[in-house]
Amino acid sequence: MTTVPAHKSLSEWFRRWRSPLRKFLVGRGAVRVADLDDIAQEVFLRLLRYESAEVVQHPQAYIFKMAANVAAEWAIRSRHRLAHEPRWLSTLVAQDTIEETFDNQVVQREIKRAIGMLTARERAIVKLHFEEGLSKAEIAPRLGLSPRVVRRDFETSYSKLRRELALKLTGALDHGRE
Amino acid sequence: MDANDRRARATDEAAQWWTRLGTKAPADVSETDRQEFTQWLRESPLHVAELLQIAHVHDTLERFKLWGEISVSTEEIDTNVIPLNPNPQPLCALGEREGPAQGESEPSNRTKVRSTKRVFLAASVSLIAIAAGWLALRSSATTIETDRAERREVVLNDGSVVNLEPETALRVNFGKLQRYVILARGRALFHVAKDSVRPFIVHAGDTNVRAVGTIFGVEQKNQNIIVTVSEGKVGVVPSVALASPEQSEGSAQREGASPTDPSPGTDTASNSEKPSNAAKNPHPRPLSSHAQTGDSENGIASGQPGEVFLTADQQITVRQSGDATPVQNVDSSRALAWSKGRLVFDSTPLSDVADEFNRYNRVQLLINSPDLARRTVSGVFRASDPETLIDFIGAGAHVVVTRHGNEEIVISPRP
Repeated sequence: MTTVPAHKSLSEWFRRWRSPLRKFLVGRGAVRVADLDDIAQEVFLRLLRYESAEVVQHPQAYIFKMAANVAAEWAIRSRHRLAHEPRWLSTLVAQDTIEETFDNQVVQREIKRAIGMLTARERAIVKLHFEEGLSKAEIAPRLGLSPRVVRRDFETSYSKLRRELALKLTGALDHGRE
Repeated sequence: MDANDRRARATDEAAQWWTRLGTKAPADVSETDRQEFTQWLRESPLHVAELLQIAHVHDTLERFKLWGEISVSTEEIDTNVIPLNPNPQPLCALGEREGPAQGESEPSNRTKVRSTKRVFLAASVSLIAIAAGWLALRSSATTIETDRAERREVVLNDGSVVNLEPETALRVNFGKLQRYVILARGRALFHVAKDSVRPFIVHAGDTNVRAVGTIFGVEQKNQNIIVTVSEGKVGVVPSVALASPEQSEGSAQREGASPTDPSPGTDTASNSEKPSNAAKNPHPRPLSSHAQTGDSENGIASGQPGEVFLTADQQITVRQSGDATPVQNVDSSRALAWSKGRLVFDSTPLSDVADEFNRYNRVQLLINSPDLARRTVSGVFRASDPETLIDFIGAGAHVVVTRHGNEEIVISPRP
């Protein structure tokens, strides 16, 4: 594994590698070669192969880089295998329009719906963070909450949204293509 | 635990890790955090999968464009807060709108927020009151107590077995992220069932003892906490700031002493990355890799500063002051003999010996002379059989034994 730059946060790493990943995450890769759990399984095995000390230097980078590599490798493999099928070719083109798709009204509505499942306080906190760019430390005094409560609300919000968004977002994306 | 439970737990832990590390620059992530994070990732493919999912949630939120339509109406929040102010102003808990103007995005209104500071204060105070009430109501925790002369073996719902010695009180509170037991008094032997996801934490005095699958004893004695390990390995954190298990549960189990978290904002949304609070808190508490704590705020996370690890046949004593003795090598079968109904004394004053016997028996020994009380005793006795002790004392000193029915045995020096 090559040396990785040391200045990136976990979310920056994700952003960097997310393109191949998202195809799996949203279930709209050109060819559905595997689901995210398969990718995770492979990443897990690769993680175990590396010396712990090496991974510990930059686990943030390794995790997403590995995931992206696995996703890309598998996508290429299956693309080669199935390229002769015309109907796959059409979706291959669509593959690169994910950014657009993501802006699709349907998807935006779906995200809005999922956020609506949060409690009022969780919504407020998430909104201040993502809309106004306030840090957790800034949100706490603003809402008269302790930093611990804010942190905990973030955690539960992410957990809830992961459960809410998972399949439904995929469904919305599919719907949006029709 | 079925697959859904494991998945749900992995999701929660991933969310905790993300909240802790997601937007932090690597320089602000401590070595301990990196180690625990790596360890956590290497524990299960589910952890990897859920971290990717949570990353995706974060990404999705960053790309969400309809924040202006997200309602944060004051009414909803009001239902959770009873303002203490007798003439409450509208509770702008979100620091955003006072009117019903939903759907409009307003510029940041920090000045407005400042003007309602008093309300926030009231709100936070009442939130605390409500939280306290809620915790009291919620309190799913179970209390197990033994009386004098009573010993109990209790199987907890995770399969762990606790042997409670007489006059012992335990409070058991198991959550998704950790198994939390408070040893309020007395002593108990814990046979901890393995659960790598939920560490088993025993809190006694100000000391936390963390185990995954092991056998160890914890006793409170003369204001000291004595931890003895029979099998496996435990981590002992003396003098942790005590958070209630409820507080710890589900919260960033993994933070610790730091009351504030710099928690930088998203890197896209702003440059709000704040300097780490490392200066204030040189040992930021990581999420315990076993929730962790969730549970594990305050000291239950692994690798915590000050955490001392004990393996089999080792013992540590934490004094009331929070100081801990160096780890001692002991014969754990002897040091934990009490768990087998045996009392071991090694040059122990007779007064202490009598106290010990009295915990285990209905009939109570009374030593009727300060001189006699100071005499020391060494030996192993069956806890349920004070007669052996009396014989032993009688063999070594001139004493008179007076019995008052089945309740009291008075030992006096022979005149």
